[in-house]
Amino acid sequence: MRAISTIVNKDDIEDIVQEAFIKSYEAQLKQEIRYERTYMLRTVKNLALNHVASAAVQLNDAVENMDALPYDLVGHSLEKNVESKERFIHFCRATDTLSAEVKRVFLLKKVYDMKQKDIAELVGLSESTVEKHVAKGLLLCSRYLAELADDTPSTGSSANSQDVRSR
Amino acid sequence: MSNVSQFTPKQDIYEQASLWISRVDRGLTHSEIQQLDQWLAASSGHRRILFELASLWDDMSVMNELSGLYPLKSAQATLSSGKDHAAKWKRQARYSSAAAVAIVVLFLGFISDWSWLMGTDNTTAQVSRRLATAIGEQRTVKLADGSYVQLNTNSIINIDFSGGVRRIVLQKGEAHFAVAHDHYRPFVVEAGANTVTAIGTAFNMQLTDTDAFELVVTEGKVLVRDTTSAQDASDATALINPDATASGQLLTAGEKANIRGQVDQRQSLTSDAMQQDLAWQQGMIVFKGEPLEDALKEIGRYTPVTFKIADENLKQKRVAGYFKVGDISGLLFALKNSFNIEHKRVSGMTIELKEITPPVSAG
Repeated sequence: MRAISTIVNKDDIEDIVQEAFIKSYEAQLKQEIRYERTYMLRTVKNLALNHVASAAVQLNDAVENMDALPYDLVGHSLEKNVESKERFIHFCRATDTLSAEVKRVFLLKKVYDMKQKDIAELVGLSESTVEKHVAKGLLLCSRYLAELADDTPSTGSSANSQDVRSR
Repeated sequence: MSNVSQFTPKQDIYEQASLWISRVDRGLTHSEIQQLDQWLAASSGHRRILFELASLWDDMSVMNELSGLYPLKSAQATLSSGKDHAAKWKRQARYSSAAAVAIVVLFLGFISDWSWLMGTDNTTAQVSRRLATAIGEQRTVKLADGSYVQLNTNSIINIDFSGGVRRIVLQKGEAHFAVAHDHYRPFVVEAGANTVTAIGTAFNMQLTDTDAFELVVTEGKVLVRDTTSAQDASDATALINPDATASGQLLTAGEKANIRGQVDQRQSLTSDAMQQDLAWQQGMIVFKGEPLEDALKEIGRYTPVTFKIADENLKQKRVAGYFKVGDISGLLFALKNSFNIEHKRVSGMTIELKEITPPVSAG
């Protein structure tokens, strides 16, 4: 499946999302990419729920309210672990717009799944800078993707239909 | 719930939310959890945008695919792959030569225990430990591999991540596991005479007896075995490759079963029923018409108080509602208000319940 693997040096990490690189592996990518998903959404949902449970919940609501528990108690929807090729490439392009240092940190996080602490050590930044870079990377990518979505009116592109999120 | 909130431009909220995501990724401190709480309480927009960015964060983990295409040079690559035990060790020894690593790999088991004894690293300290909760206590713990365990009241688990298998023994009570993906190190929970194996999924286990438990799979799939049968390692293969296993023992999201040696009373849960089952994770117990006796038994798990009901009819009276765990006075108040059930403290830890207008008695 993977014809060529290129080993990258840590100083060249930014390059892997460059347009030329994307093109080089685009052909190898299947239409749908299976991957292992992180659990950020669930984690923050749980954090938000703790808040609700401790602060605002009535002791005994009437029976008719029972189906409307404060929020979804459980990770209800099956998390999709398949991403479209198109969206994958958008992610690459979004990341490629980041400044070099932010990009490097963000890629070590999202591509190489390293801990922030280890990233700090590897690239020689303080942990708080890494934390800010990770945040900035996410923020700018979300902006880029939002703009992209605005520019392309939904023409019913099937590959992009996975964009639809629950709630 | 205060209605006073400052107006914050949307872009600022996005900025704050992305910073929160980054902090959550790094791991929140106790005071940060409270700060996040306040931030979330300030506006519903905060929560919405935080969820939106969290979802994007999760979606972007697809970029992980690139790491296979472009492996990172240096020992860091192995560190990040998290694929085997070697990774953990290499964190501490990343500067040693490849040759040295190759030799030392043979002694990995030994070395990991050693580094644990030295206690140099928080994460390795978690490689082997025991977690327990008192009656009424609940806690969530992130494990060394990134998995989360949520322990319900009065529960004990033992964790042993030192080998090629992430091994947990549920000794007592109830726990929910959100397992971090790792195909190479199956996550095995032992309870009674059975094991439940996962590689990256979420499930709930509640001991109902010393050798029986109730299993609810909330996400993905798990494999149930009795401990006398084959190896855990091959279980991972069975999960990836379902036809390699006896189908009766593979449970998928939304399924619930009682397990005592064999998988029994297997059923699919509606999402409502599942929420009810797992409401404890939010500090709640939900009843939808259970007999009072059963409801009180459930509530009794969270409190040292015992309830006494003399009247058989009252025991069978059906109750519904949701209750905050541990809030006994709230419960008693609710019983009186909504169900006309009066309470009397008969001794230190025993409470007797009676209906206010008792049924016609034979006497």
